[in-house]
Amino acid sequence: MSAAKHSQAMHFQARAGEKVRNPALQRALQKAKPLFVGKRAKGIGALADDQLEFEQLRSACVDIRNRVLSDLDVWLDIFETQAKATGAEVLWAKDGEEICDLVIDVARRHGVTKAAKSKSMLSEEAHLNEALAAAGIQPVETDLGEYIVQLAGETPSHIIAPAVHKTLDEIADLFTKTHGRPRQTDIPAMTREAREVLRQHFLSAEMGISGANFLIAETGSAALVTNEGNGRMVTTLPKVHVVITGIEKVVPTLEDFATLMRLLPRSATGQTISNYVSLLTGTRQPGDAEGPEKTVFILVDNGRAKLLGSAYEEMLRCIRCGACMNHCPVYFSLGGHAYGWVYPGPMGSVLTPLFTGLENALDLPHASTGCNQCGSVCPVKIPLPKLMHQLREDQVSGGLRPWSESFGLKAWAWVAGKPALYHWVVRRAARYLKWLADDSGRIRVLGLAPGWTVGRDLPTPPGKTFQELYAARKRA
Amino acid sequence: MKQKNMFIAAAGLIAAAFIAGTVDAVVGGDLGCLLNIEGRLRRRGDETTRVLHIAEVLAGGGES
Repeated sequence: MSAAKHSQAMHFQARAGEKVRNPALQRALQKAKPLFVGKRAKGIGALADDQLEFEQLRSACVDIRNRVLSDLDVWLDIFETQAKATGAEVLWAKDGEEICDLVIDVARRHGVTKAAKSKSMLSEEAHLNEALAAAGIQPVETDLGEYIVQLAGETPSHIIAPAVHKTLDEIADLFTKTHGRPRQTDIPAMTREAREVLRQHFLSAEMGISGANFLIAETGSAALVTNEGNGRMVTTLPKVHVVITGIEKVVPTLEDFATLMRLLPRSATGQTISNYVSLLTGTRQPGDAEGPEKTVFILVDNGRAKLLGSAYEEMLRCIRCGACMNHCPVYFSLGGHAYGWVYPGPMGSVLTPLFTGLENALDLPHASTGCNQCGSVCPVKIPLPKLMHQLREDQVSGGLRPWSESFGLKAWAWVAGKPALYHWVVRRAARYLKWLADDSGRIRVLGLAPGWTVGRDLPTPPGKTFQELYAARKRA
Repeated sequence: MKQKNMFIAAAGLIAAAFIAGTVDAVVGGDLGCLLNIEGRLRRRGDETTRVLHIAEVLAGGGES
């Protein structure tokens, strides 16, 4: 699978260990978490002001997404027809390599030397920036977070806050180094500095590349939900605009889009509505004040179509709001890079194995405490913990678990099926563990499983089993 | 073993909420969780916060 070659998801454990020991990262994460959680809570709470119910809206959003997925080919057909009628070109890509080939081909046809980019997670799936640079086309990320990540030579660690893992000081150093201006740590001043640099790129880029939060079938439009205004620049200033998005992003009507918009910004940033909501329809017509001369849609499969009708179809409802990771104790202990591929957090723990291969992301379905916060905040009710559980089952049925695990479970089942033997073993274990304890009454290094005591002590059992204690108490 | 970092991280977050001395005891219903929480609290140097199963509270008021 082509997506797997860039994935580091197999190294989740090693990366997790690194991330929990990185104080700068931990500071950045601890600062961000209450902001994310608080903003969403306020945004969802504010629904009541408009006499709207979260649960009713969720159900409506689920219905819209399910309706699309049950006839995805039909809605894509309608979208293609409508988009072509507005003068746009519609291309299809089956994987990341095809995305890169198509974008480079469009760029060559129009003599493009620089591409200004608005946020697109699909371009991350395709490693588009590397491919463009190799083809002699300069990619410039213009979303502030993406811009920071690009300057640092990194990848986004969050789907809506790409640079959430970086501290203010790190960003100030980065700007000083690349912009060659005096170091500033005042956030508005830093933003102005980035804006001045980016403005030149907007004006000189011949191509704009964006994602799309949704595709509207009835009008052939791309809907873009942004806060910085860079999305508008990217999609209107350059003469060529390329939209790269997943085939599952289509919704039937503008009204459906409006319903989804009730929950998308609220779930993501807590906003009632984002600063910009753009509906991009076709090319510039005579008399239009702005817009590209050429619009190209690249609609991407990259592992999505095979989920239709599978046990994981619900995952395709995802509208990429980020609420699941914003409420995940695992995500906020490690940050997004630990997950090793494009999508982090609970949605990433499901998507990465599905898109890059179960065997290439063995730890991710286990990267959960089972708390179900992700499932309870998801605006389209994706049962993320259940899907992770299914993936674990698939690992077992696919023979992907280590032999020691299945041997251990079989041995335990065998012992547990023989009560006399089981009690004998448990009595021995209780005495052994008590004997292991040091003077403080705790076990600091557990010989049989040293990993367990790396970061915590094992409280000592009382040396007798519950049944022994119970029998003694009854006698007394 | 497989998930040691995640367990530690999650238990660490919970433990961190208590280590400030804001509570006297943590009461829970899941032995695995309690094992992790107590283990992490003690490793972080908290010797006083009691970690109890709900059954202990019901049976003996958690005084033992």
